[in-house]
Amino acid sequence: MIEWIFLIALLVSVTCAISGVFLVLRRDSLLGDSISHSILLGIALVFLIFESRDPLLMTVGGAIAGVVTALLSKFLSSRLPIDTSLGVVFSSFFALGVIIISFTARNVDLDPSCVLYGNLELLPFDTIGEIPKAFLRSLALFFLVLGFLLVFWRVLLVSSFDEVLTKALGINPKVVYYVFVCLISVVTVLFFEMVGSILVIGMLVTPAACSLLLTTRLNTVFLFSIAISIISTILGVKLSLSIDAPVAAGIATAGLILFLIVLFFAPKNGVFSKFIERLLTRYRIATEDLLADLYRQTEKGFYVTPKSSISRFLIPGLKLRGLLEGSSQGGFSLTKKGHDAGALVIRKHRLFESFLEQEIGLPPDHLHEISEKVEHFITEKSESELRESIKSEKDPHGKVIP
Amino acid sequence: MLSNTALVLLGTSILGLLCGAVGVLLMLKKQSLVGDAVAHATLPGVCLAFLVVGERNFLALLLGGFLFALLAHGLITLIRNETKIKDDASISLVIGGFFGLGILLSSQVKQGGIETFLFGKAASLLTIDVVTILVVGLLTAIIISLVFKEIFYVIFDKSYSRVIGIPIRLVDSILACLITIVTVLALPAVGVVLVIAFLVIPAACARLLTNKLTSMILIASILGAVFALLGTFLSASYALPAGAAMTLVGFTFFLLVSVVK
Repeated sequence: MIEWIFLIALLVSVTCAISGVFLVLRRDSLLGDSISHSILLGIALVFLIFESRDPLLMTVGGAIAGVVTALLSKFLSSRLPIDTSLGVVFSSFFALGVIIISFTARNVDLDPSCVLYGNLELLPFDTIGEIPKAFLRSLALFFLVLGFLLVFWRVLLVSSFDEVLTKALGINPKVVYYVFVCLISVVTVLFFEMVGSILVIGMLVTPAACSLLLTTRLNTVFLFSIAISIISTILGVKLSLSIDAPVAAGIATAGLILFLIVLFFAPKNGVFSKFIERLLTRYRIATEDLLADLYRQTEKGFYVTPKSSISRFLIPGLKLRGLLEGSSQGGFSLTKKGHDAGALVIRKHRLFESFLEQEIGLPPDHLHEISEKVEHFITEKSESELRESIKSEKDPHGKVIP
Repeated sequence: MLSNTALVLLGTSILGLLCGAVGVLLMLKKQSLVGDAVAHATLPGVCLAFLVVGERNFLALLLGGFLFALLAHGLITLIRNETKIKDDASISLVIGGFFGLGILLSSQVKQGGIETFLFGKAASLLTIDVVTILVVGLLTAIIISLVFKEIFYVIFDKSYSRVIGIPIRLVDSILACLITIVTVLALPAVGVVLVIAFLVIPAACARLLTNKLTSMILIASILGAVFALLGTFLSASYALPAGAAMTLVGFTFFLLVSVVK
């Protein structure tokens, strides 16, 4: 039985993840959130009118509710901010759905709290022969979504990024929009029993958001989203089963945790990695400034600098790299290597000052502050280019360019 | 001593008042659905408080919810400032993730009482709850009126308020705190899922009725209180979930206004 739970959960997650990529790229996540709430009204109405839980009828009901939500909030958004109008529509539809269900379910088996988190763990008991119905349904929906994305790949891609180009290609962006609304409605309705109305939005958006922190190529975003949804499903289902909690809640939680890990520790864009990088850059700038200062001292003939004028945080690093020698008692001086490193910084500084004067035409008293900042970010290549364009041996202040 | 009905009506109408006012600020900041994210994010905090304290202690629950709501608000702000991910995705992500965590934790709470936080149960308000609502509500109103001018400038013109020396980050933080406090306060009566209706619908009606900020806040507060009163009444007489009943009253009124105006 546990194998079936895993399989169904995997299918649901992966289907949600691949539907969610374009939702995030189109910046329509909140529309997805609204639809996943509004379908409750569609489902409740179908239940009220036909007294049936036939998946086909419910899908149609949910899709209609989804499209009406999109239409109504678009209509209202001429007079209200779009998120306010979405909020008005979906919360009202959801409330109406809750009321209808709490009325009709007083004698039927539609549990209002299942609305919130589904009951994926119970579904494997409802089988055709050996195979759970929920598995077949998820598998069918998975292939439907996959097929849809493959067929309309280019259309979705273009319309997500460039409305003008879309129109120029003869595609009506509104049609794409509402077809997409239908897709999200169908996905949320058919997975409603498994994951409820609210957790599904996490499963739609989180893998895509996570991948966008890691990569920017669309194909890779898709692959990463699938991988992330698989990982969060496996972890989430294990977690839920071990503490006897709703499976969907475990998956959503694992997704959030994965996202937080990526947000903080992603190699390039992670918050933590960026913080470290900023720290390292600050350290490098402080070091370079110090080397440049010491070099200027040697130009004036002072070869030994007392300890008090050097930041004590920088001394160990510089000594370790063999740029600085001496001791706290006797003062410090640059080694040959340190002298060269200081010369490099000064060279960039003075080259850039000359450049500013000759090419930009700045007056002499405007040169130093700018060059003091830029000197740390001049690459070897731009340095040699500067070298070629600056003919003079001296900088605008009359100092030798080393 | 007030009768129980009067007590409940008093509590919910003050909540409606507060939510209406804060909802206008949220709407004008174009962050209505941040309120939704914050509301969903309180659930794990409420459950943790349940698990730690072991009983329905109103203040502990509020504190737990408040901490997680602030965490969620901080996370959305962090994502906005540090990554290219847009607000719509971060809000959805917080809703799904934090709510999932909340459901996970709530399945570990053995005592009853958590369900009222999902859909709200105005009738379950106790005297002490209403007193808490009154005190916190009064504080909120005082804070809003003290920094009203600053809030006004920050919402409508960030660069101008920077020029005239308003501490934007401080005002933003105060607003974030107000939003989370009011949201958390409304939870037991309205429920996690439908606080958003309480924040959005009175504000939307007021927006359609007027263009002036002060009258917008005033109208939204009054409407919030009226919706709350009627909703509570309906929910009590037909045994409906309180949050849903209030939302429906509000939506009906909203439809009327949007047709007339």
